[in-house]
Amino acid sequence: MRRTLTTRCWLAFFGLELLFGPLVVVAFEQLVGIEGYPLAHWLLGAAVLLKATLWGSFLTSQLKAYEKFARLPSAARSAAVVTQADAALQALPYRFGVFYAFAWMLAYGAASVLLFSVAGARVPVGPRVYEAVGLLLLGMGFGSFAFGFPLIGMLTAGAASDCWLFARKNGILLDRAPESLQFRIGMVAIALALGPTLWMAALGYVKQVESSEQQRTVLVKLAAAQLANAAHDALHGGATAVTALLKQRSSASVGAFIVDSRGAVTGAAAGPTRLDTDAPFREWLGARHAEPEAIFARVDLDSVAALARIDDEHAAVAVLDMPVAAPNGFVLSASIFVLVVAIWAPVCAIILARAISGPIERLTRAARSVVEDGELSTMGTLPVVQSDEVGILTEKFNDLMELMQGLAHAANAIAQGDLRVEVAGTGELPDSFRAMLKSLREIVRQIGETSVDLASAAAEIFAASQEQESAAASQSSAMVEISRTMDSLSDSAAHVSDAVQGVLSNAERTLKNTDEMVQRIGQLSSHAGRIGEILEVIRDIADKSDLLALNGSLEASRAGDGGRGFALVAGEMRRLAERVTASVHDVKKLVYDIRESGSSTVMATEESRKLAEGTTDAARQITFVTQQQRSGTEQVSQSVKNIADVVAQAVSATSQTRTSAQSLKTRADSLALIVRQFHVMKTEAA
Amino acid sequence: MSGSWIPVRIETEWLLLEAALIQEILGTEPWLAIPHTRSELPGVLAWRGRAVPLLDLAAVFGLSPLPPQSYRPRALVAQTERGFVAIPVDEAREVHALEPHRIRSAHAVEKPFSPSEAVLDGIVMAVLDLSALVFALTAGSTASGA
Repeated sequence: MRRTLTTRCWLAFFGLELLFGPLVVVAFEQLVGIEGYPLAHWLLGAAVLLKATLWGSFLTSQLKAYEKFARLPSAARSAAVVTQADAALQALPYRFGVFYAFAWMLAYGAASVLLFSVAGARVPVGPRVYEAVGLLLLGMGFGSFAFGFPLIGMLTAGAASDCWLFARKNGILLDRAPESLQFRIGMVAIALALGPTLWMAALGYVKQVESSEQQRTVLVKLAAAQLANAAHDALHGGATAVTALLKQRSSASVGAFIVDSRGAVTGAAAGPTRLDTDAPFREWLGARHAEPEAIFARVDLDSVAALARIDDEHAAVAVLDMPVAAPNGFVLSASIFVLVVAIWAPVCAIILARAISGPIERLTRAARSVVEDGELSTMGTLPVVQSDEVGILTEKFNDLMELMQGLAHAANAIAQGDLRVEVAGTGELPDSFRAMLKSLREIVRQIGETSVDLASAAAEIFAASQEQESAAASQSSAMVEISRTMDSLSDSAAHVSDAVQGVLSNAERTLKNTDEMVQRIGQLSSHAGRIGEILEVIRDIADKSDLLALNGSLEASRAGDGGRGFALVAGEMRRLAERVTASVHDVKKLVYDIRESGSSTVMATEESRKLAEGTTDAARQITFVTQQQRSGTEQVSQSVKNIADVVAQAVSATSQTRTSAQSLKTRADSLALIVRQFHVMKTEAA
Repeated sequence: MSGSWIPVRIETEWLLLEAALIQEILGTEPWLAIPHTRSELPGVLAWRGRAVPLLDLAAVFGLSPLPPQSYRPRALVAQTERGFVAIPVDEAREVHALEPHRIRSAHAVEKPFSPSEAVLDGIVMAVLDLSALVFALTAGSTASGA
């Protein structure tokens, strides 16, 4: 499983905690004088855990943006994710260095406060320990910053490189504030100097305080012993001798008095003694008075008291009113030393940083001048001050600049058209340059040859396109004329078609009328036939009437005079029948004529019908042919128009070709002129 | 001669027949041709249940004789002394009573059995002596039904 950056950083700092944590705890206990107390172990262990928790949480929160960047696939990384991750990584060394230092100070400070205030009764608190602890915390702060700042920078350098490379590859602009290497080196140097210095100052301060305390104890015990020896004789000499002795032994800082087993005090002081005002001191004296030991000492921060037994009843007591403190000379010397270090360390750091970063800055300015301003030819040789890493870097930078200047000179010569230039040097870049130069010479040679061929071909194309354009223009005019003719033909065909359509319509109407006429004539003939039949009946009736009239006339004649009238009627009747018969005959003749006329009309109509049918068929054929002709004419007209368009396009294309050929020839000539500006070696040119 | 007369026409010839002899005037009647007879009497005609000889006056007067299976519009059945005869004619008119003075002798070309003539309706009509004709034709034989 791949470890995340947070895990790696956490493991690294936790390893340091495992390495330095116990040592610092032991050193802290030794320095403060609490090494023999388990409660101090627990509290300082808790301080270590608190410290690890604090910086671990802070580290995790600060690296969250980068972890998101690292967790996402490349395609899913947005610009915001990249910039946020890079910003977090850039700010991390300063933030974490400061927080790490404060974590150390806070953890040990809190543990000390708890230890001395809450559990002070069970843990002996030495005199002036708080000042020493304060110096220790400052030393811890500077010391932890001195390795926390560069270490976290070293651990996250790879991640910052990844962000930068990804942003550069994807065109993402990173908002990185300019940084000073001198400032970073100076900060680390100050922390490195002040951390141990403050630690040593605390150690010296503690030792000075311990020495002062021992001195006070020795002084007060000696005073008490001397008082006890002198008081032994004075007690036998009376009160005056004692008072004189005590007055002799007392001074501004040392109080001397004698106390008996009942607690009565004989002293030189006029006012109330310390036994009157200090109850704990009084209890201490009572308790010590009963013990068999000869000399006891009680140490306070402001004073030291000693009791020396004189006899079974009396004891001499000396009180030294001198607070525990480091000597003023030590404090002054330590303060001056710390001040000197606080000044000396930044100065040294700045000098060191400038000594380191000076050549690097020169390299930076030179590289920036080359990259940003392109000032390569005016670039001088950078001085090599020392043969260290920076010196070697400067030397190699000079070599690189010489190579770049050589290549720039060659490129300039090539730009001027001089391809005879030679490129010196070894390596990929000079080799590539030489290969490029070789290819360029070959290309120029080929371009020269090609430009000549191109100019010749362009001239030929120009001439051919001119002829083609002229011919195409003639074709276009002819096509336009043909198109007009075909349009006229199409219009005529349309007119003929319309006229034939009218003829066809009339012929069809005539045919229809003829058919109706034939039908009517047939009906007329049928009616005439019917009339003939009726006439035949009438004629038959008339004939029979005539016959009856004749026979009536005959009978009337037989009747004699009586039948005379009847004979007249019969005669009229016969004549009537005769006229009827004659009329029938006439009518029959007329009917016959009608039928004959009908037959003739039918025959004539049949002829007309045949003619109409012929006309219709002919009109249809004419219509069909005319439509075919019209369609064909229109197709031909459209084809001619299409051809005319194509020819017009061909004219345009040919014109463009001619123009292009002319332009091509001009460009080929220009190309030949340009190629002639290149100076290629004679052997290669040949 | 006087009395009632029936004018008949055979083709272009107008004749006057004595009305007293005419029994009935028939229309177009079919007749039966009898082979090997005289052209004036070419066949017989059925009339009232008897066969009446057909007298073709056209043949008598030198006109086109009536061919078999052909007819004339009228047929007059006449009774003579020698029996009944049927005379096919093309036209017959009503009986006319003619005073004797209107009948005169034929002064032009005399027609067979027509010794006299009369003018009726502006037409010169020969007066046919039917009995004489029938007698002449039936001499040596008897007419049917007599």
